[in-house]
Amino acid sequence: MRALSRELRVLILVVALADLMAFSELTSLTLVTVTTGTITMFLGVVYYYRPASVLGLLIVTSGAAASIDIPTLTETGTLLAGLLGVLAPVFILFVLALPGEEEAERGSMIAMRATATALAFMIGCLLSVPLAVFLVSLTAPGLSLRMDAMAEMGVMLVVAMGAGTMLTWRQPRVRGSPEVESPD
Amino acid sequence: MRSSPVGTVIISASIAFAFASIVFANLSWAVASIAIAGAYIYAHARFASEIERTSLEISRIVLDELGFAGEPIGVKVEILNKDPVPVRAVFEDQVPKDCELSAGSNRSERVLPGRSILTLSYSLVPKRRGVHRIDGMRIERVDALGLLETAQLIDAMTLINAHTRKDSFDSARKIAGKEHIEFSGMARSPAIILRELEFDGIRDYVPGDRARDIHWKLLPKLGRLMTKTYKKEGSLQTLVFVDCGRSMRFQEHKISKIDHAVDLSMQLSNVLISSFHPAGVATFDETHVIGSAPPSLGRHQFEKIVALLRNVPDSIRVDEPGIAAGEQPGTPPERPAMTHKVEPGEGEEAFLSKIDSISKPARKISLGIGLEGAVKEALARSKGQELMFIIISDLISSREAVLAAAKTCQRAGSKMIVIQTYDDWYKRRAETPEVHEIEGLYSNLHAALSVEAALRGFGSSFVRIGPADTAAGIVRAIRRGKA
Repeated sequence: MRALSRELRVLILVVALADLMAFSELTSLTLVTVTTGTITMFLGVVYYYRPASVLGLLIVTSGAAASIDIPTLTETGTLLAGLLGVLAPVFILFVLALPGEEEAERGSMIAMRATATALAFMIGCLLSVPLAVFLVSLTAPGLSLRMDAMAEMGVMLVVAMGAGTMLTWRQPRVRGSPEVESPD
Repeated sequence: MRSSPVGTVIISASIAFAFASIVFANLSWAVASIAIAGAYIYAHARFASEIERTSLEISRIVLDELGFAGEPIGVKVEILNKDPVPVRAVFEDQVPKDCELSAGSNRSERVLPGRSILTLSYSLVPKRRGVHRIDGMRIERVDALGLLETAQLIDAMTLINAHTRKDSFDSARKIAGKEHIEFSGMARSPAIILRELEFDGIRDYVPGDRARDIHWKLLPKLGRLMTKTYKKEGSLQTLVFVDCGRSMRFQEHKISKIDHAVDLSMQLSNVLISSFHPAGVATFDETHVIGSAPPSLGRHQFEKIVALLRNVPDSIRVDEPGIAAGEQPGTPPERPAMTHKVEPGEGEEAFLSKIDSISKPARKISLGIGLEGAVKEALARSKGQELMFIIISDLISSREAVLAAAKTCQRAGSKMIVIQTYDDWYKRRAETPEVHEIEGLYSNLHAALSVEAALRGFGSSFVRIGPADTAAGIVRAIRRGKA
């Protein structure tokens, strides 16, 4: 695990937000939405109030998602826009804005293995569409040309659901305490 | 591991974004949905890793060596986090079922940094006598992002042995100097004789002789005081037996019979010891002797008796789950039917085996082994010296054993006092009992009187007591020959 100082954490948050704004089409509605979300999120972060952070994050993410147009993930340009414009900043915002007071005061800890798992999941989901198109093109070249956005969404969401279930299915083995109570 | 409310919101938001991508036909919503799910997976993987790495060591110390029921007992718990990863959790030490928190806190919500110790200090008040078990520590953990939580129980068992109430010790201390079973002056009907004396002869009175040794009947004849002399003079050794059988342990109302018996045995033994009579205590159940402190007048005899009584089994509340109605005390054991149907096809052997089963005693002889064996052993060890046995029992599960022991005592020329904790007086009664209940009470009393008659027939003294009877009252009854 690596510790991030408070200043560095805030700087990364600002960079992530700037990244989101850079890829967004800055209409007035987007600007108001993202600004409101940012203020709410920063208030939550400053006062260590997690519900406010979550609300702000969701508003910012909604604003960013609404303002970026990604018609397909089979082109490098839109794929990079999705990766750098939405995926990376949203993930970073969530990971850095949610830790509580004690965590933030001591310096946020970044777990390398968990980060690698999450990145593998996200990039895998994102690349599942080009991979699916490639596999379809090997068997039915005509069909791959007609794959629309809805089909791409379907592929990506199915992969995300399967991979997400697999990754969160395993229960940890507890050392020194034989009994882990079952969830309520 | 389960989602916290915030985690549920995040997962719901991820699903909502996925739906939004379908509704708006825009992949950016789906990408955002995956980013949110990615954050959740990050939290899950990190939390799982933290849980697997966590190594907590719990050490608990009971600060009071001798705890009493109804009195606070100090407990100190140290939780050592041996791993460098901090533990965000609510630490809660499990409070035993029959104890309540008195002072301090058994709960702490905090982040326990790596390689550090958290100390909790609190005190518990056991509601009843017996062994109370602290099973371990419950730890409710939350992950760093607040999306997941889990509860785990770390086993770290500690036993707290609470003795009977402190008032009982105070009573034992108070009556020790005041009360005495032996009648010290002149009496027409001497009460229980606790001194073993062997008459030697008569001599002239010498100033300083005890009044009780003066031969008063010779005074009008001779016109002077004469004193009786004895060859051997020794105190009668007394062994108090406490019945710890199943019927004694049931508690239906305020006090259980076994708790009352423990208090009485402690107080009676202290009365005897304070009067310089060697006294001891033994505990027994249906089959064997649980523990024994042989009669002695040693300096620490009372402490030995107290230590023995600490290990007397707990009482069992009748309303506790798992106690079947048929197991309740006072329920007479089913006797084998006196008539057995013999099928026409069965032969002579079958018929004889049926007859044999009828001839067997209803109750197993082995039930009497516990007390009877202990009495025989004590008599054998006394090498012919007279002993006195005080038996505190409800005469339900150990009735045959007590009767057999009384018979043995009669043969050996020893004394026995039976103190019956009468079962019906320890039960909660309805204000307006039904007819069949009254009939039951009458039937029980009739049975108790039969047992009393049998015991008196064996030369034993008998006292029937209820929960309100005190050791002082019982001692007075014995001294005045009312037993």
